[in-house]
Amino acid sequence: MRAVTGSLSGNGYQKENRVKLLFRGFFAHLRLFRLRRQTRKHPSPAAWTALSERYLAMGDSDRAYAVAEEGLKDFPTNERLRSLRRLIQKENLRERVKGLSQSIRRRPDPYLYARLAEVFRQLGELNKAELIAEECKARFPCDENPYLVIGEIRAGRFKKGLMARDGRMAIENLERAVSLNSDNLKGRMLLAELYAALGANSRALPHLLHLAEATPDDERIRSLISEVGSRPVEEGDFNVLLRTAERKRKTLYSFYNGEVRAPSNSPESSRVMNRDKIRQSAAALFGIRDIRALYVASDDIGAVEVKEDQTLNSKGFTESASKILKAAEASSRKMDIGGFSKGFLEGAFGRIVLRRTQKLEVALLLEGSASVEVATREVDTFFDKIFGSNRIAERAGNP
Amino acid sequence: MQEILDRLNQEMGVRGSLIVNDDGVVAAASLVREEDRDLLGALATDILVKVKHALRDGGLDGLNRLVLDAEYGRIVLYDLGVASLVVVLDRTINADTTMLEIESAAARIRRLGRMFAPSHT
Repeated sequence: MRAVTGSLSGNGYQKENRVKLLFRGFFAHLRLFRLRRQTRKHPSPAAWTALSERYLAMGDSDRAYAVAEEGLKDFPTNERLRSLRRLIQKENLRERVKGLSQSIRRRPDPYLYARLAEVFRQLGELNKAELIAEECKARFPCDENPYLVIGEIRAGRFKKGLMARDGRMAIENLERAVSLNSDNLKGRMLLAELYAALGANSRALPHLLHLAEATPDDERIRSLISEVGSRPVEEGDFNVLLRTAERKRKTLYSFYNGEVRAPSNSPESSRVMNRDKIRQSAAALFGIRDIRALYVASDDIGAVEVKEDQTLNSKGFTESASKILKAAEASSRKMDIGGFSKGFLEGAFGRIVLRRTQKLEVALLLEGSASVEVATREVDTFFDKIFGSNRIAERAGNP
Repeated sequence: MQEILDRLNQEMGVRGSLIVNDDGVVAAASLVREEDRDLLGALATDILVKVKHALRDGGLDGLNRLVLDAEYGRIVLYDLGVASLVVVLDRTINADTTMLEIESAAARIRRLGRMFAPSHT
């Protein structure tokens, strides 16, 4: 009898639990629906992040990733959305990394190395991808794959940042890959693209002719051959052309596949800086607690907003900030870590928060006790306001 | 010092570290690519000198720490008086815990420096 009663109460408990779960699910979906509607109506980095995180918490990482991507279309420079997207990517690819690493340990194979490097490349961890390719190079020096991986990574970096070192490493590795396998069409295509953009026409042509032979129906290759063939023969070594591209911050010709030169490649580059808009948005930065000085400047319109602490000396913060930002940019490029984006200084003077894009730079001088996190968040919001995508305004006009 | 750097390099996201004196000479280093040693030392000194000058021009003295975030990596520099600690990090790591380790390594190196500094008595 006791057993029967127990079973009955067990059933009742299960039923109650199911109902609870149903309600919970219903409310979760309702909250999600509201959050989605809210995000579309009033898009902000926080709203997109919350929506993506909600999907992630519900176990739908594909939707979470898509939402983060969508958010980045609205706020291309937002750090929080970028790191969230990276986190989701990492979670999705973790199993693949584990599996490939185990396979390599069991039976090292250049193809597996290339796949593992490719996964890290997808994760945006280019340094790790390169290290894996370097390891593969050391083990299998006559295999084309690691050279191709490094060449591809460096070619991508060169297109983005136009640093001579990236270009040189791309060319050296791709040339090696092609010398190991003359039918490596990907390597030849990348080389042809690089040489053609640099204006090293006599070097681009042999690769293009080889590609045309392998793919006789490709119209684009034929048109590129006629274009490059009609150009004058370059003067000087490709190293000189690389250094010129770095100095002038543009290549002699546009990149063939539409991935145009660095200054016009970044999301904010197409924007025309509006002094009033910047001044208006910078007003919030003046309100940061314990702020002593503020420097906002743009390549187009020079220094925009400056707040100076009267106790600073005659040259003031403006000059210091400008010099520090320039030194940071130059050093990070030379140190092979790409273009400088943000920084932080600490010392007896207090704290300085730095942020820089190709079009705009900001430096804040704060008291030593000030919160850097709060200041960084405010600066991020400032950049979002300036570089927030046109999509938001368009959507507001056409709901 | 080498031991401190080697231990630091085992931390998540640390690509390499080095101690460099004010003339850009590397005193100790623990790097994945050893060939970067001298170049990194010279560049780190160069930026520290430039930043310190720029700060001095604005009447701001006493730089202790400098952190630079770039597209493909992060550099942390600690001014330790007669030398500097330079740490190269991955861009994608959550730096908070790693930063604590770097700070503690800087403190240990500073203590060691004091112990072996010539006395002026």
